[in-house]
Amino acid sequence: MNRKLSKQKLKFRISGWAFVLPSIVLFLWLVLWPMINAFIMSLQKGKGNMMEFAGFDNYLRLLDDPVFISSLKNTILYFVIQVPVMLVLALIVASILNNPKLKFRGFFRTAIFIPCVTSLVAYSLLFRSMFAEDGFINNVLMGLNLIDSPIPWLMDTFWAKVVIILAITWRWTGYNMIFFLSSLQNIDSDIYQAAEIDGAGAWDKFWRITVPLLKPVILLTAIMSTSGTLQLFDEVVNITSGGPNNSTMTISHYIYNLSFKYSPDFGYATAVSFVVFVLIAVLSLLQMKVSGDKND
Amino acid sequence: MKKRLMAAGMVMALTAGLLAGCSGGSDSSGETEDGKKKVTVWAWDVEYNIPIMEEAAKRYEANHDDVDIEVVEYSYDDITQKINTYLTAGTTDGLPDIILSEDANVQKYIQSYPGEFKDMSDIVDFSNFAQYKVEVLTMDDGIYGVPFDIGTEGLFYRSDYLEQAGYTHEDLMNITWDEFIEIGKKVKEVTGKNMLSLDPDSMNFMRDCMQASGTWYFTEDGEVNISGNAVIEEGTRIYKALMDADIVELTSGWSEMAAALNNGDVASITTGCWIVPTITAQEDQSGLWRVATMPRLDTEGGTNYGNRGGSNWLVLENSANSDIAADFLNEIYANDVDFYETILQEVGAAGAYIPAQSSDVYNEPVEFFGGQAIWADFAEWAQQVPAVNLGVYSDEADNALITCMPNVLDGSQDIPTMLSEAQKLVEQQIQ
Amino acid sequence: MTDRKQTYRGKGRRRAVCGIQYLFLIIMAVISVFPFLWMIISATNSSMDIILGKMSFGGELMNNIRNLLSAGDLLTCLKNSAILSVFITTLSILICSLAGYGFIVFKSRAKEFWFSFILLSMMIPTSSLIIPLFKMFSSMGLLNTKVGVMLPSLSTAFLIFFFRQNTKSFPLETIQAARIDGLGELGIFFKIFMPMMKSTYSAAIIITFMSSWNNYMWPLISLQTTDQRTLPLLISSLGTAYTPDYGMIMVGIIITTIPSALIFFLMQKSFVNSMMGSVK
Repeated sequence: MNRKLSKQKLKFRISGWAFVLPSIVLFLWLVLWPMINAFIMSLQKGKGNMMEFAGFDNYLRLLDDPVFISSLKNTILYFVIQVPVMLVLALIVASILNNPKLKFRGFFRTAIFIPCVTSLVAYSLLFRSMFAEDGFINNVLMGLNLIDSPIPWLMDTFWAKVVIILAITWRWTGYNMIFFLSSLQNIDSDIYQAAEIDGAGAWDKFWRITVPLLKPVILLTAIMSTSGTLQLFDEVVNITSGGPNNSTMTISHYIYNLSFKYSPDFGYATAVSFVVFVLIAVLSLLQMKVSGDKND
Repeated sequence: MKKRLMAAGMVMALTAGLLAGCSGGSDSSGETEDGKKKVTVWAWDVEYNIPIMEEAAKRYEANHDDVDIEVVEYSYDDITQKINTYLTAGTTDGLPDIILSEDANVQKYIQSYPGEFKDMSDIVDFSNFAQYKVEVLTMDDGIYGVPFDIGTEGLFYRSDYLEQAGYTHEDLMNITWDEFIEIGKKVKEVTGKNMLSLDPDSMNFMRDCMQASGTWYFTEDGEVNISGNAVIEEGTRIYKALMDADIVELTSGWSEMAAALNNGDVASITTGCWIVPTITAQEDQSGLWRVATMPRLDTEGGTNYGNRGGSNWLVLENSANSDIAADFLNEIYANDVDFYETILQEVGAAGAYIPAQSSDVYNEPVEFFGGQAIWADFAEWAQQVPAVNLGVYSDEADNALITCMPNVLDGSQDIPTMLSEAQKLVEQQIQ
Repeated sequence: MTDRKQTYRGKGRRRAVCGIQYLFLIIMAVISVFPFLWMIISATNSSMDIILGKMSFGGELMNNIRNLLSAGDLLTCLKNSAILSVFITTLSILICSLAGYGFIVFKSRAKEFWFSFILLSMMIPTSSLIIPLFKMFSSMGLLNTKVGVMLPSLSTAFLIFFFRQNTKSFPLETIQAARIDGLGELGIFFKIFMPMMKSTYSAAIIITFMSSWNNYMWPLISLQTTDQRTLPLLISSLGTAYTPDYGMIMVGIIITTIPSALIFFLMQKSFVNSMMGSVK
């Protein structure tokens, strides 16, 4: 009896590992090993393929690299302002769209999802022309008498950041909505009905039921967006190319410039990557702590 | 049943994919299936350098029936990414025999990856090319590539706007930037149009000034040469004067610039001669445009002859058929006058090969530019462009100036202070 | 004041909330779809009109399509993209959902450690791994192969994380019950977990398909010959010209966009209360 039990336990253990093994093997092979190599590369210095060992020089150089520091500041600003706004918006949209009585649900869902598959080439062209000095946005704002003179959206360091934040929010809200929508399906609709009987309004239901039950997925999207924002690249390159005066440059954009635009310095570029890595890791751990994520 | 079908489908698809994977291995032998020697070229513009290279390939293949030249299109950024990744990783398998590279990138390649690009100095007679183009390709005693087209700079202007303000073609030839600003103010007063289109996020203006005055961000030995450089100081003064005069249409990126030209929002632009197809695309403006020499800086060595853009063909030393590739470039790009006439007529490309520039085709009047023989003008100006050594850190220097320039524009710093700060920034960046 | 209060009560209030909801959705939808529509409009215009900001349909569609077809081997690229995306989506969802499930259902300290480790790996900017990965694949002869393109996308921290988080809301009693019924562990996963988590899988399919369909950097570096090119690589190769043909590019990006949008439209239909439905 006892032996049989332990055999069963063993079997349970083995099948448990079997589930996660393929992922772990692939991860060790295709992420960890290259990562170790990349770290070694970050300890080297030099142009192109003439690299030599330099210890932590690249990391020390980072400390007083003004371009790095300003791109770090920009990135953090995007992160602090944009991520919460986008996630709250996505959550609200998802819970509205989850209402089975709502008409044209399929249409609305697809419409709001569409931005993240719309090509950046097209939308950056459009964004740039809409936010031009004599573009659509300024015309509307002036027509409504909200502003007296056109706002130099793309030419001003402050407004360019605003445009980038609008652009990212526009593009990724629908994307985050998918996670919320799919997880909302896993909430028992009985809970909502019970709440309705108790007289709870839409707002109450949202904050008392939806948000707490979606906590694991909210955490997921928060961490994803953290990583996404700190690796922000495409939007900035396509809409402002980092300008004016580097005011919209992100860290990933800087890494790209170091590798491919400037004289190729992959050692330094990789060192910047590792700093970003540490930053995201710390932020994510914080988020996990705050949300109380435990494996139970 | 459905599930089993799905599983079976997955297994089949997997096998098919794996097989496809095995058969897709890269071809490094440098031979085609019918035994011809294969030369691969990477270039980026389907309207411009790709058809030109295909024309060149056709001509070479006609004389050498054992060679097959394939031109593959990649975007400019894609080529940069692939070349840098491959050469840094030390792999040449999968790279082409020839790549196209803009003037500003050549030194980055040849200095960062020594031994990877072919020295052409013994193969090509470089005295037939504009000196400043050869300088771009030179490192120590070697010349690592063949010049392709020129980006000779001109002042492209709307003759109708300028006439309204009372100016003729002669009034715009060989002027200084200060004179240009005065003209610009008058033009704006009369027509209401801004005189010049400029992108504040690039330092092309400063690069133009430096090239035309024979200096650069760096000295010959690679020392940063920004603080105390009379040309950069004067260039900064002009840049501020242009902005203060309120005659500049600020555009960001290519599409806004093109729109400003095609909409008739600006009276002029200083840029490379490759802008011609963009300008002529707006057919209803035919006859309204002219080209004058670009304005000069009123400093020692300042000329009215500059260059922006233009590119070169580089041969990868370790490719399968690098010798044939070099022979090909020499035979067509450094010897075939007829080829250059064809590409000028068909594509509007001005080559850097001097013997071709005296041919009749160059002297033909261009209808769109009111009958001006613009190509003969460009060819003549090209030979007077001062040669400069671009070095490898120009983009870093651009970036430093872009960062510091606002302090001068808003008057919070004087020019020497700003430039010494920019100098420090660059020195920090290139250590 | 009291009037207002009254109207907001009961039916009137519900109707107002409902109206606000629709208004909000319509505004969101218009803002979201507008650039997409503009993209379609642009595909029918010439490059010049696009730059000048024309906002109405033009007659250049056929011309743009013709230019695109002559610019590259569209069909081969479509085929390559389709093969890669279908494989990556199927295999990575299988591998990652097994793992995400395993990390919760068979949790142990050691697995916790591995999960954190994998999650952490997601934080490194992928651009820094390209060169080491490239060197490795080069020495293994995996460059310019479909397998080589797929491998790095098969086990992604994000998907594992996604399945792990969603498994948390899966009722463990169901698994216990199935075990007592004598179902094997894999059987439970395939026959009970997968069908019950339909909406989670739908979301995963949408996201994974989209990212593999648009995958750009690694295919660009690892693929070498034109017959292996994917759609995004083809479109990108059209991108930088001294005088870009935006009309042609727009046709190209519409073709690139449609599959992802279609997959979304088909998959979002399963966003109905799937789990509880099958339990009851």
